[in-house]
Amino acid sequence: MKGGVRGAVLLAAGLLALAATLLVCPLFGSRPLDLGRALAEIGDPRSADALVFFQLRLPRVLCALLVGGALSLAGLALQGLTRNGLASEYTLGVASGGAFGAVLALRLGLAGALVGLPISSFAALLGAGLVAVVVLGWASRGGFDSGSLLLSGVTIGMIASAGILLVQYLSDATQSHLMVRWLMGGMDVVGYGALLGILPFLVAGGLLVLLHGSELNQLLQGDELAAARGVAVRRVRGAVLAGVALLTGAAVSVAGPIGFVGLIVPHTLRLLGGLDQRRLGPLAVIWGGVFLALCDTVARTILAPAEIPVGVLTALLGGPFFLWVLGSRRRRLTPL
Amino acid sequence: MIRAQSLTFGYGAAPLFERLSFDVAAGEALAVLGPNGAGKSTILRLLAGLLVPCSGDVVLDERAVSDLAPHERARRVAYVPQGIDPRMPFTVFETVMMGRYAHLRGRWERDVDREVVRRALGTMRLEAVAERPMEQVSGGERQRALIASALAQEAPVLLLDEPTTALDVRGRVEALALLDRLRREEQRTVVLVTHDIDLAARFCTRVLLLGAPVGPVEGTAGEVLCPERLEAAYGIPVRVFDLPGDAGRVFVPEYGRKP
Repeated sequence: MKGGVRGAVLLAAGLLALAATLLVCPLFGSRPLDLGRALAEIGDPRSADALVFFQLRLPRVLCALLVGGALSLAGLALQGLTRNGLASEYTLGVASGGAFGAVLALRLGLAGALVGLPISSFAALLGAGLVAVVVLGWASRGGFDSGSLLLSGVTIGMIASAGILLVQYLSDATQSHLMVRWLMGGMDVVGYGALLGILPFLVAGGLLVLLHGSELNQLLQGDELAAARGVAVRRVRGAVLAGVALLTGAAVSVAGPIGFVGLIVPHTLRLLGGLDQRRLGPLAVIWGGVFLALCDTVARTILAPAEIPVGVLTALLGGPFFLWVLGSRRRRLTPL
Repeated sequence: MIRAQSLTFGYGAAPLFERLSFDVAAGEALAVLGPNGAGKSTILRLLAGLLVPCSGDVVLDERAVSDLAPHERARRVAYVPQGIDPRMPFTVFETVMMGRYAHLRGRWERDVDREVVRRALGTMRLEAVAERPMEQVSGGERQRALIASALAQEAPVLLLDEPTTALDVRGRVEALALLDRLRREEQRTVVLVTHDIDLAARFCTRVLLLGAPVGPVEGTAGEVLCPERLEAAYGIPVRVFDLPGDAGRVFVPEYGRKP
């Protein structure tokens, strides 16, 4: 099958790109680094090379890989769930809910950490989860179809965005600056504590989405047909949306709201590799991670020693790309 | 065998039908006829377990449809909806393979499944367009692909909502002949909604006529499809002609005089 071959090529290329990213991206930065020395002096607390490589650069690349993979898988799932190529964790308000939680925590000056995660991260997780539950509840009243899912998501997202503006307006200049910086997104992690903290959420959310690939395929052909073929439509929608909330909440909690990854990566993969969600799922995880890690590397080197917030870079790249996707859609009639 | 047991259903306050009961045995084909809005598709969707009746039950092999898990139900009943989205994604082959869901449930397809799909494609004369996207085939091919997808489901009960609307003359006769063969040779149960009274009378063992003032009428085509009942149901006079040489019976509405 052609789809299978293209999928296999994309998978092999993705794994190669992943390995290259892990080795090469940590070498870039404001301070030149000797990979050989870093690897030789691993675990030596006096080695600056080992410290920078293993405690600063590698966690940062890993963070970008995890966050990028999570966001692009969440976007892929939502586009399938709503049969709408414009859906993403942003359109559906989940990311805004997470951002609102974090901004609120910053305004209230909550400090401290839980299980290696700062309170603001927990607030983001909570906010994303809350929005997902509310969207889920509202959409279920409309029969869980894609239209009601999209509309309730957009509406609740707007409410969350208004909430963010309100909190910002009520904050002083220092807090407000912190919030703006946080809302731009970034991968400023040190060590592995935060990554280990979000890992369970990412694994659970990822499995909920990846294990429903064939169901998502069925939903693309319409709810009624899917139900007639034996798909438990409501249960699948609930499970996948819960997965999206876990993925998005966890990603937003460490990296802030980073836009467009959930749009660019799934759309590109669909153009190259076909529509089969069972193949697209793993590809979205790998390529989403690679894409964000590369963006982050560019963001922190292009104006070195200054850093551009990576969220700005993905949006600047993502905006034009998305316009191109919209333009080329004229050739295709299918919703995605 | 599928049984409607005292079904009551309505979308608003007024019920579409009340305490409707009938059964269709293995090896039988029932045509559901009636004017627009009489509830033909609703009955089919109730039988498919996609709608829940206000009261009553749909019984499949002595088990209520509402008690079956979705995949258990889909192994017993296949349903072809009316009005196919022309922008449907995936190729014809992939679409037919999706009919295997109740058997696969997330597993990747094996040779057995591919063989079943190839047979269904052959039955519906779709081999030539198997690798084409659904959005790039004709309306008739799309409709045949959905019937093929239902065949790949390998369910003993087949429910089809206006399966011949997009088909040309040959396709229509072939589709009905196929359903007739599945009924006779494989003892499948067939229920189809149609506006084609001629074909229903020729190929279906029984007929359910909705929309008559006295309520739904059920029986053999010969019993049910008389001019008086058809006029009462559709609201215009219909004349019946027997074709010579046992070629069947045609139903012709009164068009009125040529202006």
